[in-house]
Amino acid sequence: MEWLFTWRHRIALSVTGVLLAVILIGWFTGVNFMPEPKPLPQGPEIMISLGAPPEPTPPEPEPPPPPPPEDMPLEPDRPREPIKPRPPRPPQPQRPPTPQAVQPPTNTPAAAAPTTQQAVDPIRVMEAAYIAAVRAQLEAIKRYPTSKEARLQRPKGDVTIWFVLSRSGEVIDSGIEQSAGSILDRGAQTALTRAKFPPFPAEAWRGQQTHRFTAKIGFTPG
Amino acid sequence: MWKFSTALLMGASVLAMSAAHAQQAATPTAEEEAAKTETSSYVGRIEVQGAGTALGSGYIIREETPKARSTVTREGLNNIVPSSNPYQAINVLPGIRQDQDDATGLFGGDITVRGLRADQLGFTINGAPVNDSGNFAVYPQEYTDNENLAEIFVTQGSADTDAPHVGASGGNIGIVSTQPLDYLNFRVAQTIGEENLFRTFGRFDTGWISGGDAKMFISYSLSDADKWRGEGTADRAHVDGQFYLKIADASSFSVNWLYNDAINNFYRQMSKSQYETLGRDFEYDTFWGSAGYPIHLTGVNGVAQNESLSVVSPEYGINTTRSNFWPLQVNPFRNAVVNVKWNLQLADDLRLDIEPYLWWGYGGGGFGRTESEAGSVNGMAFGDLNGDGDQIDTILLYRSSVTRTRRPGVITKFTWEATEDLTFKVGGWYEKAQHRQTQPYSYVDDNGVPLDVWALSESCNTVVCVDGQTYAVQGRDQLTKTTGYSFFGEGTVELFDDALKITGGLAYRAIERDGYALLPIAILTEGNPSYDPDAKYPQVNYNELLPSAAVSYNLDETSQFFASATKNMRAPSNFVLFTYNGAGTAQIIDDNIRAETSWVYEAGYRYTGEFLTASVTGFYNDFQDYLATAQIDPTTKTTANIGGVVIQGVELEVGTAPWEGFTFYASATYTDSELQDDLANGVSGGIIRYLPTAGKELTDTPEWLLAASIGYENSGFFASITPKYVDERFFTLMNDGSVDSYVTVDASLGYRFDESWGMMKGAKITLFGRNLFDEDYLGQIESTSTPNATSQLATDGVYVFSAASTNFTPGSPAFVGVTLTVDFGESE
Repeated sequence: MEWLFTWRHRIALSVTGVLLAVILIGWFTGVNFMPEPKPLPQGPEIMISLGAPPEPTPPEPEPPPPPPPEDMPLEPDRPREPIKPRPPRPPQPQRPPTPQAVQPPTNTPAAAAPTTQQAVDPIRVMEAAYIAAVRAQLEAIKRYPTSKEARLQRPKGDVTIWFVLSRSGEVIDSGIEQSAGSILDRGAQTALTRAKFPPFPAEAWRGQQTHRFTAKIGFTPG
Repeated sequence: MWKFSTALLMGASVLAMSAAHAQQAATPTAEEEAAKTETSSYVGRIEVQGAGTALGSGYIIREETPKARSTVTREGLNNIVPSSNPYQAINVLPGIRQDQDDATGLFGGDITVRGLRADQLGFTINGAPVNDSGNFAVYPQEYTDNENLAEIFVTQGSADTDAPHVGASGGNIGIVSTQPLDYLNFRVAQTIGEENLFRTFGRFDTGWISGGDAKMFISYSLSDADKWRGEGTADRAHVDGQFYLKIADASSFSVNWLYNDAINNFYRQMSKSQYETLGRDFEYDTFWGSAGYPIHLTGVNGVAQNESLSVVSPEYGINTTRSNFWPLQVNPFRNAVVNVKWNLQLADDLRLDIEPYLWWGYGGGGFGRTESEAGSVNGMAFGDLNGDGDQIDTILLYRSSVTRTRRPGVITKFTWEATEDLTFKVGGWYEKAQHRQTQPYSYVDDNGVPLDVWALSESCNTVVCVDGQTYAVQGRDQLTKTTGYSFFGEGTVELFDDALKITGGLAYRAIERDGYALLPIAILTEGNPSYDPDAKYPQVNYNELLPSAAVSYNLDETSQFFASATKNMRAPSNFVLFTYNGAGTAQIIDDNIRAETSWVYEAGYRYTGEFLTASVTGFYNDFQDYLATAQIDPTTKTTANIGGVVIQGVELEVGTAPWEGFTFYASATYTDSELQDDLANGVSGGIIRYLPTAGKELTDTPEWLLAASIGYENSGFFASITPKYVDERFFTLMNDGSVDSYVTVDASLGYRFDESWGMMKGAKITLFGRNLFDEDYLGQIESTSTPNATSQLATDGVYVFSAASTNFTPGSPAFVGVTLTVDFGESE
């Protein structure tokens, strides 16, 4: 292996030269050597017929409950899954095409449904908007913990915190629902102390003096 | 010691496993979860990325700790050529004054932080201490490869309560390695540059394996460069690695290891007058071995060959001897550090960190030297060195100061969150170091090359053996067993909705040194009247109780005020245990020597806004028993406590978030130092004479340090420019000698290719420049203990001290290098 050591400069320079050449050629010619990206899965074939209008879509049921628990896995005993790229949101189920394009315009049930939806839940919309504001505030003040332990151990994990806000937006109480270790728990709780939440809109959670919120904070050392 | 540690580790692992199981039992059932969601609104998932941001060009982060602390992140580390050592990376931080032998960083250099030298600072790698256990020196080029660093932080004032240091009267420099990547990756980087710099680096990351529990990386780099002046090279091989295993949700086990193997030629230090007459290119001789200047004189029995005769150098026109031939000035060193961590979440509110480490090193520094055959050292006679049958010659040899160190240690810490607002930390550190120091001689061949640079040979044809014996002549031979340990406790309470945070801590740090003199040989030679196989000199102990207190108040989410007070200690180096007088007897030099202690007071304000991050800190370091060379009695001048020193000043740093692609960083430090006492500097007529140093400034402590960095990043292109100003510095305690101020400007420019080609998924090419305006300056001052550079009157008004001197290392000239980095593997 002596020769490897003696020729190491020449070998390294040759390899570097080859890599550089490949990079520059690729860059200048815009050639992309990556395999063809897989085509997006096709939706159901869209059929256009002049026949009877399709089954009217049933009126939207009551607004869906808060996002299903799939987002808050309760699997502390399973080893953490390897980090994969976020799976793309499952494609929204294709609505049957609005028949308006090829049908004489009628008051389609599809058009009616949204109006019905809005009429039923202005409060829910307000509450959703407030939740979005709470989220925005957390996004604004989020910070990876800067304690010495955090810098040296660089933990990664998800902490689910709960906090109770008064109508004026003050944090009455808080705690950890799903721990990710004391370093990150502390980071999550410190975030709460920095947060300034707006007061509730008058109509939101009417009758309640306080409301409980949960948030999942995912820390990555980066 | 090891068995106990293993048992503790096993026990802790079992505890961790059961704690993890206990946590599962407490998880709410599905029904409970459903019940909660009915009255509880889920806000969503919020992602938080760590502090590796592009704030302030990579030189500042949003800090919260209630004491002075500055950090260089990965962004900042990218601005310097990858062969650089950690001192170069922190150059622009407040309080830092550093200079390296050359731009590559491969040869090492020095640093001062608020005027304190590396041997007064603590230096850790992932929490493990790496200062030399004997004299607390640090050799930054031995520890890291730039690509594997996540960040380097500096606490300028004091080490933390749980720090494993006994030689840190100043602050601490902490190096944090990256973790293995989550995905499979192979990175290769090739650097070429001036000084024939050639560096190849490769790192392999496995990504998560074994069901997503474990990951590791291993990297290897090979570097070599020529010295920028004179002849000689640096050759360095380095291995880094880390294995990381997730145990349960918030617990982990990791092993970090590094191995460094380097052999460098020393740069020549010069006096101020040599610098002024011969310029910065003055170096060791290169002409020996050429016609008329043979390395060795032919041996002739009965005729004295004197290889110490000086000649006029054809290179510099000054007197020189063979000892100054460049191949005789060598620094070979190999070292390894292994650092194991169990970071365990034992219960929801209790964490346990157990971190054993091992530091191993072998190597030394060698120089050319002539010795007389008729002479002896430490009672060991040289005898016929050139084989001509007589003992009247003076022959050129290579003498190496060799160090062999083995330091296992362990740091243990419990962190208990008693309540939401109250946290306690309790722990300890224990280390047992063995440090063997020898000073053998090696023969030199006819080309001027030492036969045994590594001092590993046992052959008397290679190493100079005592006349008539089979063991080597040693300029010194001593073993120091140093036991360092500490107990610490710290409590933090948060009040007023976490706006006010008060921390109080107490550390008891102690060090015991056992010095074993292995010379004179007479003591260890059976049959000799002086024979004493248990020869060991009394133990020395230094211990201190070190309290600390800190307060921080968050006015609002952008402003924080903080104040802290900490006591630090630095034990005397191990050479106070040994002295070699003409007869070779080793003894404790000064029974009265005490550890250097200091109280550090800091107060400051931090602003962390969306665009601007800034901090300003005032500091006051009050040293007692500062260690420097002094006349302790009419016959002895040695390291001693010279009294008090006060170092005070202000540090400011400012960084911005990216704006139009630009980020800015600036730091400014003002330091005012003052010696409190006069220095016992000499003796005359049996009376100790004092130099009037009271009121003078400390050496190598510039009043002003200014630095800035402007970074720019836009669609693949990135660049940075980093100027630094270092004020004038005194090199004598009487302040009658100084080196000029200087400005250096470094820069980087590069392009990041984001496209992917097959397996190749990213590449980056970067041009690096250091000292681009080729500033010619004296960077390093060899000794900070030099009393006076000109004749000075003693305090008695009668005695006159004659001038003393020290040596300097000039700053390196303009340098340019380029690196190509390519990544292969999976995408994130």
